[in-house]
Amino acid sequence: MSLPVAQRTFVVAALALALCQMSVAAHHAFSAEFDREKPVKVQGKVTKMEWVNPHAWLYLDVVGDDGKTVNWGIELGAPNALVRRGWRTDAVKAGVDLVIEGYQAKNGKSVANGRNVKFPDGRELFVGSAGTGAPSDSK
Amino acid sequence: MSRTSRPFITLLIVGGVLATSAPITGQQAPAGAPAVSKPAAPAVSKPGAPAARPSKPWTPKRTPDGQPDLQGYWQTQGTSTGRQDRNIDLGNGKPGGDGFWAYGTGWSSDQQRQLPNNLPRGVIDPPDGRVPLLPWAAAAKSEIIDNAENPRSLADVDPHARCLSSGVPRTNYALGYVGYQFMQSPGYVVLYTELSHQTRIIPLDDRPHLGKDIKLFLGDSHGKWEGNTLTVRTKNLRVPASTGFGWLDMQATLYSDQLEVVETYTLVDRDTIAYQAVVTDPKVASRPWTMAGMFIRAVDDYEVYEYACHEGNKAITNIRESIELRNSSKK
Repeated sequence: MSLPVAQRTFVVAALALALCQMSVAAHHAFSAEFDREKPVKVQGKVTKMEWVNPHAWLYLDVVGDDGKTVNWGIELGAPNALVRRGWRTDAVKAGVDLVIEGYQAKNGKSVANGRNVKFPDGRELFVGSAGTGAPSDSK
Repeated sequence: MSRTSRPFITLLIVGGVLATSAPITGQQAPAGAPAVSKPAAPAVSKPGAPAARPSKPWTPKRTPDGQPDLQGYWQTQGTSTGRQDRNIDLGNGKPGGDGFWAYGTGWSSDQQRQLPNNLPRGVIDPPDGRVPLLPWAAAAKSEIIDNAENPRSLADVDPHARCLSSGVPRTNYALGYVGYQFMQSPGYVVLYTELSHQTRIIPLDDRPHLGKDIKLFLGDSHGKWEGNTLTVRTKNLRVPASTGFGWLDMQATLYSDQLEVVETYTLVDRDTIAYQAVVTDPKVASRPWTMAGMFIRAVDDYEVYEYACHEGNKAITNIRESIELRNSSKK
C-alpha cells in the first residue's frame, strides 16, 4: 500500500503515540542490571550508536571533573520500538553533543539505562523510554 | 537492525511450513482439504467466561482451502497472568502491592482502534484472577522476587532476558511494541511473533503429537477449526535446562515440562480475535486455569522489523558482572 508522505508520517506518528500510550513496557531484567538508586546525568559527544537487538546502545565520550574522558554506554529501547517512536538511523551521528539521564548499571562500569536524551540546548530527542523500561516519570 | 520485507517474511515462513513440518513429525503434509468443520453456530472457547459475541453475526472471508481467514498483522492486548501480590521491579513503576500487573492491560481511550470492551481479559478462571499455584511454586516465585534485584544466579532472572524463547502461551502476550503476523496455507496456520522471530507452524490434520520425550520451546501445536474458532492444543513444551522451569511472565510464575495449553482464537470481527488459553501444569498449579485477551488488527501499513534478540544482548554480561562485583565486595 502506498500512501502520500504526509499521510504515512501521520500513520507512523499515530502508531508511535498509541504505543507510547500503552502501559509502560517493562524491561526483562531492569532491577538485576541497573540501580534505581543511582540516577546519572552525563553529557558528551556521541562516538557511535549501535542499532542492535534486543536494545539499541548509544556511546558517548564524557569528560569528567578530573579531565579524563570516559566512554559511557547507554542502553535504549529495542530498535523496532525506537523506529516506531520516530527514531531513524541518522537521528544521532558521531560528534553530536547530547545530555542523557538514566540509571547506572550495577556492574560498576560506565553503563546506564537511558531515560531522557536531550541536545544541550534542551531540545528533547527522546522523551520517555517505554521500550527501555527505565523507571517511569511524569515526562 | 535491518528491515525485513513483508513478501520476504511471508515467503520465508510459508516456505518453512513445507520445509520443516514433515521431517519434524515424520509424517507427510496433508493432501487436499484441511480438517475444517462448519458447525451451524460459531463456537467459543469452552472454559471460563466465554468470549463475547458481536451483536450481529460476522462472517469472515475464507481462504481458498476453506479456513476462516485470520491472516494479517496483529497486536496483542489484555492477555496476562493476572493479578500479582508482589512483583519484581521491572522499571516501569513503583514495585509492590496488589493490583500491579505482570503485563500492562490498559490501553488509552484514544488509541487508534476502538477496542471491544466486552471481551474478557486477564485470568478469568479462577474467579479471583490469580494463577492457582501450588504452595511450592508460590514459595519459589516469592523467593525469586526477593532476590531479583540482586540475583543469586541466572535462575533469578527472566529466561527471556537471556533471549530464550518465550514459549507458549507467553509468545501471545510478550511485549506491547512488537506485533504478530498470522498466515495460512492449505492445512496449516502459521503464527509468527515479531519478538525474536518465533514461528508456530500449526497443522490442522489429525496427526499424533510428538513422542513425550521430544521437547521444543514452542512445543508441538495442533489446530482445528470449529466455526470461527481455531482451537490449538500444545504440548511437548521445553523449559530452560539450566533452571528446570520456564517463566510464564516477567514475575517468575513458573511452568514445567508438563505444561499443556489449549488456546482458542475466535474471529469476532474484521479487526478482533478473542483469545483464551487454558493452562494445565500439574507440577506447578493446583488445577487448570484460563487467561484471556485479544488480538487487535494492526494499522494498515504495519511492518514487521527484525528482532534478532541475541544480536547484541548485553544484559547477561552486565548481570554476571554485577553478581561478581557483589560477591567480591563481600570477601
